[in-house]
Amino acid sequence: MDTQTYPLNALTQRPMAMYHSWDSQNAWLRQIHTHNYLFVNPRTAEANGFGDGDWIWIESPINKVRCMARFSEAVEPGTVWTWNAIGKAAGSWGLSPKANESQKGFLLNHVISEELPPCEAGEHMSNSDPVTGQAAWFDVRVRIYPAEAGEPEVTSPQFKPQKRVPGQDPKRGKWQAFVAGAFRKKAKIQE
Amino acid sequence: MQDPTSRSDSDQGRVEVKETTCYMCACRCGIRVTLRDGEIRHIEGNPDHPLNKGAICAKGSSGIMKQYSPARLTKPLLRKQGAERGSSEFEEISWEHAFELIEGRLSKIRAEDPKKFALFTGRDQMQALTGMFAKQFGTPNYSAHGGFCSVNMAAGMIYTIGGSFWEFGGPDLDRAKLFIMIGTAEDHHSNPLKIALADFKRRGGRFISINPIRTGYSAIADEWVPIKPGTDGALIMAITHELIKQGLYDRDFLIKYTNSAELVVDDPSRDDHGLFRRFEMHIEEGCFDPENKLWWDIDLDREISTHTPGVDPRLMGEFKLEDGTPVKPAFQLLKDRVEEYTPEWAAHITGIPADTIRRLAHEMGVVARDQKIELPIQWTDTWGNDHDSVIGNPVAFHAMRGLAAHSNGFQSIRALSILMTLLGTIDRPGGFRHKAPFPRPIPPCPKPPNGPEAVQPNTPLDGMPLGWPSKPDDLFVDEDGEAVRLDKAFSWEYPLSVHGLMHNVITNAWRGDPYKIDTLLLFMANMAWNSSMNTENVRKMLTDKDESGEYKIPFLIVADAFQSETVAFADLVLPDTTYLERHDAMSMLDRPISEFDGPVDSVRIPVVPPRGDCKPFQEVLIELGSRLGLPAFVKEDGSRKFRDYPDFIVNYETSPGSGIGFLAGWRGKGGEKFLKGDPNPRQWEMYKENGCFYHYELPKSYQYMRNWNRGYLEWARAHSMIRYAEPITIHLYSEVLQRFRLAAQGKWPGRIPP
Ligand code: SF4
Repeated sequence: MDTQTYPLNALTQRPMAMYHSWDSQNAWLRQIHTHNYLFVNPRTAEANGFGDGDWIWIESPINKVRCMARFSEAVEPGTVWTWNAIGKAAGSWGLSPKANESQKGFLLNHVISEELPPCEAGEHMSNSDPVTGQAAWFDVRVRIYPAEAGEPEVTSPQFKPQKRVPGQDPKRGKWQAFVAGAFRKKAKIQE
Repeated sequence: MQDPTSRSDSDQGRVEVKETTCYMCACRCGIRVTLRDGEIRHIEGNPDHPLNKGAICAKGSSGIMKQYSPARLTKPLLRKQGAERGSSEFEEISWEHAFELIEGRLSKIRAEDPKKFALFTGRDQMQALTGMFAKQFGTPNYSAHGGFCSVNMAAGMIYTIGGSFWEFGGPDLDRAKLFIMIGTAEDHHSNPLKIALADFKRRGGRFISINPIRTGYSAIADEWVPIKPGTDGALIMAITHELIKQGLYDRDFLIKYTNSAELVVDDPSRDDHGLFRRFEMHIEEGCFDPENKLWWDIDLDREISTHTPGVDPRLMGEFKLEDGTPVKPAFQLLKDRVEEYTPEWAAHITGIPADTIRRLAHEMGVVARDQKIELPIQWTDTWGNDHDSVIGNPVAFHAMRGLAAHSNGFQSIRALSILMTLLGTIDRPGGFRHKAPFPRPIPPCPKPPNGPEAVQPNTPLDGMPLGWPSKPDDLFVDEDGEAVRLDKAFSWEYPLSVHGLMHNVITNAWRGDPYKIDTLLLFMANMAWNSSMNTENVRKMLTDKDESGEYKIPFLIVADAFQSETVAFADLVLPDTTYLERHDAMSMLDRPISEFDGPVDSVRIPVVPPRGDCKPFQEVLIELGSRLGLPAFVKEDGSRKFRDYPDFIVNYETSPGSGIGFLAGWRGKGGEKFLKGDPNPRQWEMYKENGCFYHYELPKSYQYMRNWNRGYLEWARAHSMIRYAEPITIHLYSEVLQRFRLAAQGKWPGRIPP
């Protein structure tokens, strides 16, 4: 691994208010997180030439992701990190294709390879602990740099918006101001 | 919105409160759900529940919004004819149609080559059932999400101390004085750890957090030690170096309860180099570590059988056995190993100043040595010695994915387990304590199959899809040394992959390496998004076709309650229920919610009916098992054995008449028995009357030192948690790993790598 070109460690964590990908559909929990930032120590950000809230690229040897940066003193300078699975693909999880989750949220997974580059042990070795096969998510190395002026202010990569499927509620509805029993009565639904 | 102070719910409708178990994360707190006219009003923590004692978190109380989420799937769906995979074009079909499709496809696979069906599951809480389904089907291609989550935590600790953090053990914060948390964010446990940390801090305990990031629990730490990711092993080795140098280790604990004083052959030219010197002894065939090893007696200055009464053995030195074999105590090997790992060496790697490392080591060692706890609890060890009390060295640790999710995670976690052992904190007050069904032998008994002949048409798999190899001969490889499993678990590449490698399943199936499969069934695993590495390319693999225009992964079934990214790539979608709409068992056969003082299991009982045509995934498995005629799900005449999942949970026994089933509470015909007993037709009602959990409190004398506690081990054997009541000696030195090293050097008498 070329740690000169890719000097930083990149980590993810699970936030207190959401469990993996499960909660972007949850009206109450969406009030806490609808998108994520890359948290960067201000010293590291300064060295890489961008400010708090700026659009930046995170690049690893296999792929790159555009996102917004947020300063944090609560991280050692050699590490950048983000909340995992807040970012979503457009149109998934019953969200509008314009929802923050896909437009401002991002997934770090795109820059983490499931396999190692070909080496003496083989061509397709898993990116894992060689004893247990544990996925080595946190071994990824990246570099970060500011997005060009004029680049769109949305995260990258973007995917063709996912369509709703039959049987799903056609749109987000009154349930957001939900009062138990009221709709049943209004709709004259019998027990 | 109504004003709750002027109008009460019960003025307007029928109000009920129902108890069940939360599933807004994996923690499984007890909850009370208030309903009005059958609809959910709000969710609170259950104050009588042993796990969360009434606490509820933001996620738990927001369960109501999951119930009414616009992402809910409500109909079985089939990809439209002519529509491309990934385009999310589906038509609604009936469950009968869906079952016919799956049955047709899977019965053909099962008759031809069962391994062409792969079942992988995400953060489900029914691995005992999903694993059993795969075994019964006959496919080795099964695992849950553990391989991409925290398998290193389980493997590193279980291969060292016979138990691990979270469900199977944890820090005893009620009595600890010093608590060190490494690489944990807001993580397992959730509410219970918050409660324990609050109490710990109130009592004046000192909390040190070692983590590159200060978030989650670290916010209330007394000291934050920032560390470079992936260097925890170096820090722990340097701390170990200091503890040994300063003599700050629990010598008595190491001698009696670990393999520290046991003599290891030390001659690189020999084939048994690095193995324990064992003497001839009649040993019952079994999966435990037999006590046919040697100590070096200080007084007699010669070898002697371990645990000989009255003998004080050497921990350090090098010796020659009577027959001339050079040996060293295991502890000496550790000492040799960490000799060069000075705090200065680690400072360079970890970014932590050498003085801080020295201070941390000193603090751990001194608190453990000088602030001992003694509880007046009598117990008897496996060698027949009676003890009047239980001693504790009050230094507790907790760690999770931060240590685990690195390619060096297994060894880092083994190093942590060794550090905890040196401090004498294993299953003692104020340190680490086990939770039933652990401790288990090192490693536990179940093994994966060890050759391709275990996979046969129309036959259950010969062995468990996942198990605990103890030597190269337990690997699941063919004659050429190639992997039998699609994810290459238990191969020479990843020998101890005890939870599988789900993160390589799609790539391997797409490439056809080691072989092509036909049907992949994913249950609540978002493999087209956050559960895969290299997500953008994995999404392409899911839609990639071969020369003949067929998808490289021919058929993809996705079972989920919500419209995840993965649903778009399904050929067939099976709508699952939410946790408030179904029965579930958090079983002792799986990953229960036990406490330090004894086994606890729990259930979910539906509080509302399923929405639309949703069906609990468990019901899907029972239905498919019956339709496919899998032996565990049908009677001898081939007819269906279980009406539904609740019926299965009540009546399934691990073997006919064993009295052991999924739930431990209220067994026996009338619910008068516990842990073991005949099926009880009213078991679900009894769980319901008791807040949906069952808690068995062990006698005090069985609550500590369980690796070597005769009473506890015999009790655990009698209740089928372990197969042998032999002592579970801590593997300070891992002979298991040395067997694999010898195989790599061509010195192992059994299997060697190609
Ligand atoms: S911590 Fe408990 S209440 Fe909160 S989501 Fe997890 S199981 Fe539910």
